[in-house]
Amino acid sequence: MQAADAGAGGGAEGADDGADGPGSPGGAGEATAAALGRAPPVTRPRHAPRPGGDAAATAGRTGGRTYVFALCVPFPSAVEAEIACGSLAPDAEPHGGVVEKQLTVRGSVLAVRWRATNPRLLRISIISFLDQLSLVMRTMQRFGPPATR
Amino acid sequence: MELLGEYVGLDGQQRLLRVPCEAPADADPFQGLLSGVAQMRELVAELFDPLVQQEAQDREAAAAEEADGSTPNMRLELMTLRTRDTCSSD
Repeated sequence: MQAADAGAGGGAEGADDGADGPGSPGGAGEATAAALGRAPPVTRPRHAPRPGGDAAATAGRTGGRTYVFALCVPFPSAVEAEIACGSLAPDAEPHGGVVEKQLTVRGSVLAVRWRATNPRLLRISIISFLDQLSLVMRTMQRFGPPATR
Repeated sequence: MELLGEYVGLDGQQRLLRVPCEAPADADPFQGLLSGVAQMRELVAELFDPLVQQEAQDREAAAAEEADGSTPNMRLELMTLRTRDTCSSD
């Protein structure tokens, strides 16, 4: 596992150069980059507009008082990503006025973006989501792939 | 395939959390994902723990100042005045 600092000197607006983006080859890399709001690698054309904007730009627009966290989860297929999104999206945030969460699906990637003014509640929300995501994955693993019609 | 997390703090500083989640060719893909989610959970906890502690300390300091009814600068001025009074009475 890796945790890396990414361009700390660039500031809130300096994260859009895609230099530290995922850039992983294949369709998952494009979807991941688009889900995080980053420009995809220059060798590949952009197919769709960004779903929610760059995490760093979002934090900058709110005047710097907001913590932002974005997560991209690659699923084996787009159908499974949609199923996971449908299972996890209805859960309302218990502290909705302090923590906001948004789920989107780009191809086979489930993208989640949090905005919060309290780091403790943000941490609770992210970890709770990861626990629920784990449960959804175990359920999919247990019951097998969706039936084709 | 990897799980990717991106954190942006109040000062605009960014942190990237990357967790590979590829499963062996003949293995269940969800097994790699589940392992990756567990690792991401740990990374998130490590990332936010110092932030939460710092925010709690800042909140305690602000609350202490408010309860005291004065700022550090005002306290310094009061001490200076009391010292002058003590010296002048001697």
